[in-house]
Amino acid sequence: MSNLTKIEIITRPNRFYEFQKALAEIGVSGLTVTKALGTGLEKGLIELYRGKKKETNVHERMKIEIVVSTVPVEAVLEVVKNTLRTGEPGDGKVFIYPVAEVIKISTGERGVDALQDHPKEK
Amino acid sequence: MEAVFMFFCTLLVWLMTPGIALFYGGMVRSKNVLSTAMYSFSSMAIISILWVVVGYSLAFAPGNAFIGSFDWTFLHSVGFDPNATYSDAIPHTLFMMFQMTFAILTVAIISGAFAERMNFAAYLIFIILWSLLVYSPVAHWVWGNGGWLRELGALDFAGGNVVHISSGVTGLVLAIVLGRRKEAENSSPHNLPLALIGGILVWFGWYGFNVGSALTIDNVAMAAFVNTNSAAAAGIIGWVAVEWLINKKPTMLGTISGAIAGLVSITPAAGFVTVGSALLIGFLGGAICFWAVFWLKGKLKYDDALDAFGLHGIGGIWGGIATGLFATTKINKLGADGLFYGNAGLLGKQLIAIGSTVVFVAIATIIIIYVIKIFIPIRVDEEQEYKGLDLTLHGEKAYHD
Repeated sequence: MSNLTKIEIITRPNRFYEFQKALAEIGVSGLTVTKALGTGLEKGLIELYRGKKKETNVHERMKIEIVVSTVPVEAVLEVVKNTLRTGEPGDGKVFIYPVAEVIKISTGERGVDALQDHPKEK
Repeated sequence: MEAVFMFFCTLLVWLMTPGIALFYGGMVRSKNVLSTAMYSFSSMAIISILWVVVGYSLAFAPGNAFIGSFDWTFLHSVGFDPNATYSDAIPHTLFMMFQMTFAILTVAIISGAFAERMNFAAYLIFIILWSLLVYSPVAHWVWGNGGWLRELGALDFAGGNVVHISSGVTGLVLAIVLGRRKEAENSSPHNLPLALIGGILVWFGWYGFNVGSALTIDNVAMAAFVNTNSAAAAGIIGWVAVEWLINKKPTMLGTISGAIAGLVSITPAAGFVTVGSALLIGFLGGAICFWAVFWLKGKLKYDDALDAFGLHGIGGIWGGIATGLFATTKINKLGADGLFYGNAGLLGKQLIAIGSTVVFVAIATIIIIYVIKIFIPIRVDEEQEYKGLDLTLHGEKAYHD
């Protein structure tokens, strides 16, 4: 089993830049970000068109995927706690998965090496 | 000078129909925006031709009390010289073109009622028959030489009966006969800024519509100008005040809808009332139309998709009644006094004009629809409705990601 871990975070989009900055400080620079829609405990929004109500509880969210090896998972979770938590419904969720393998397409490097920003000079 | 003024007014009214295309187009879902705009553009194509061939003749040529004649088909006898029955100042051809823009616009307004579900081929056949069998006769009743409502003394300055009540009632009938959209509850406007641009063009064009109906620049035309703008502004306040009270939020779509409600309401009265009356007519028009769209439509469960009836039908009926209440010969010597100026008779005439228009238009529309139904389906099938009319009927998409 490799020591690669994928952390998937679904959260509000408005704190993303703060979160990204804090991640860079602990050495995480590679992120995959997807605009997402989701529902949870947060209350719905009401749209009104000529008085016709349309209630929707699907909210705009951001899904951030990170794969780490040398950076401890707990450090990432600490950043999540410090930058994303408001205590209100809608803060989101974190999912953690083991990853079988990582391959960097440009160099063919595998595993931990594939995750480094600057490939070793050979 | 009159001819230049009327030429400009004609251009303004012409712009209202593309305006309707954008106004309605923005209010449907993204999969139906092109098909909705097509309703307006095909009315420009078809009614333009129909009008010079025979429509104008049926509406305005000398005939009986109910319809004109074929004397002016292909504009025979319609030339540069003024026709004194309608105006001794502007070319007869110009008057014909001005009236053409009304005939086109009226058809385009109807399309709001059945947007997102009517079969395009059936629509084309419908507007040909409707324009000849409904629009031309009603225009003749109200404005035509010898028309019975004109002789009766009912007042309709710029087309409350002819344009707004007739299109609104037709829209209501079509909405009921076609039935509700499958996803009526989930259908919300895909592009309100587009609807805003369209609404602005419609408002802009309305100055040509109402002011030009004086057919000359005089005191009546300027009264109509002031009244039109005042009523539109008051319509916004009326609509949004009620909306804010009931739904707790003032909306942009509400402001533009309120302006149109005010404009519809003042149309029959524009050249007959004082500015104070115009403000009241517009304000109440905004409030009444909001009530019709918000409450009446929900209660009776018809699916008037873009509120052709709620705005034009209801607003036009209120405007016709208001003309009977507020008209005064102080503003227009050729008009009449209304109830509040000591003449109850005018209100009776207005009610006759409104009632007869509603009944005639509704019955004739039902007959036309059922005749078309014998030959082709008037509604698209469920799959087409689900995929959207742009792709299934016209083979194009408005937006590519």
